[in-house]
Amino acid sequence: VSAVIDQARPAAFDEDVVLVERYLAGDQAAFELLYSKYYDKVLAIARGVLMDADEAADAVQEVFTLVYRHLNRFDRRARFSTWLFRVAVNRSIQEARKNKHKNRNVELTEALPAENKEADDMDPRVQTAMAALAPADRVLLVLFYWDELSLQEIADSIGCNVNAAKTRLYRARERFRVQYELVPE
Amino acid sequence: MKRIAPEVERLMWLIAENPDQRAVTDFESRFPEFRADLAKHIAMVDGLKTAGKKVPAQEIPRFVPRYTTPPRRPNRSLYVAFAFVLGALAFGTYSATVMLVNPPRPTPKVTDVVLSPPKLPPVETQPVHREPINTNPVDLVPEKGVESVATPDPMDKVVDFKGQRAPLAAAITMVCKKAGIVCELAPGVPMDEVVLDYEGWSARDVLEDLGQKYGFSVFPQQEGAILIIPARKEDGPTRVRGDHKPTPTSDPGDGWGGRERPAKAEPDKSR
Repeated sequence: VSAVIDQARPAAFDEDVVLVERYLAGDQAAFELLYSKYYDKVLAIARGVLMDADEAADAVQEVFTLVYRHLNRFDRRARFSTWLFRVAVNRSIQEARKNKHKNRNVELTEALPAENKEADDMDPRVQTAMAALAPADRVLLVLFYWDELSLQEIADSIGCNVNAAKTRLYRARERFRVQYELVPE
Repeated sequence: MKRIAPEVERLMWLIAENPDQRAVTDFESRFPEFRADLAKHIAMVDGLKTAGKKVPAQEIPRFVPRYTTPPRRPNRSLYVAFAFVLGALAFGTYSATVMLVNPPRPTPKVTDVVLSPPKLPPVETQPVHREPINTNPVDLVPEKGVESVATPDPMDKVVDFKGQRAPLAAAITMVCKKAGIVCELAPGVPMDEVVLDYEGWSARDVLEDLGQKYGFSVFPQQEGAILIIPARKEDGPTRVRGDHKPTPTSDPGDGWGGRERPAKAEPDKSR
């Protein structure tokens, strides 16, 4: 019955699917359109998770390369943007974990310039508080406040239901507040 | 720092995310003690949202797909082969260790079974003198009561005497000597003179016949030797011990079983 209802329910029109179909048909320009459309949002996710502009830019290229190579795996049950954000979130968290181990071996003096550069672009308190959070918490804040996704979209992007996404977002926000208040004004 | 109820905290987040002036005024009128906290939340969310907006609006770089292939995972068959190699190495190491600890005992060499008889030292063959086979069926059948021996009994040797006269002791000695028998005479042997007239008789029969006539017994000793013991008067003539002659059916008193009676030795009556 549910299958019949699902078939009868009019699917929300996703203009991105048209571009996906065109790309899969061989139109490389269609992928360029998707790339330019979502570059900022994917970069925001990567930057919010990695807390480094260069690494974020590199991660964005990685994410779009993955999408470019595996777009045929997009099953069209969800929106393309949701699928893309999910790829971006997973890849960014993966990179953040990799960089965490790598940065342990880097001298503090070598790491300082990058942080100073980021500090010029972002509120220092927000920067410090965000850096103190776990990548999973940072992802939720970035998706909600930077990319302004709805709870449903966030849930789809991180692979959970809406209530779980709401609870996780609340906890991440509370942790951010604690870290934010610890930083002197 | 005062403790904020979760509901109030959630309300403050909600107002901070959508800072409507009327909502802020309403909250401040209801919770005047959290006015400062609400202001902090609004500033914090504003800073968070602004931080996201402050991403430098740089030019979008051209997308160039990276063809850096991820490190290829070894094939599953490679894993299986590697496992086999590891297993073989482990087994080899174990076997080598076991052989080093307990060296194998030298196993005896299995050679072909030699069926030919073992070689014996050469024996000098000497010509064996064989007696001519006696084909006479009468001689091959052993007599009753006489143990069959491989060598012929000297007592069975045929002795011939033709009318020879001699005292009994001398006659016995002559018979034994002719048959090759060592004879020993016990004291008391009669000294009668006898006439030996036997033809085709064996020494045993001759001595037995003389013993019946003149009263003595022949006792066989070791092979080739006899003892002559004179018989007592009440015993009468005896027979050779161990010699059981068949009882004659035709002439019971004869004692010869129908055989042709040889010439009897007549006592010398002249004496």
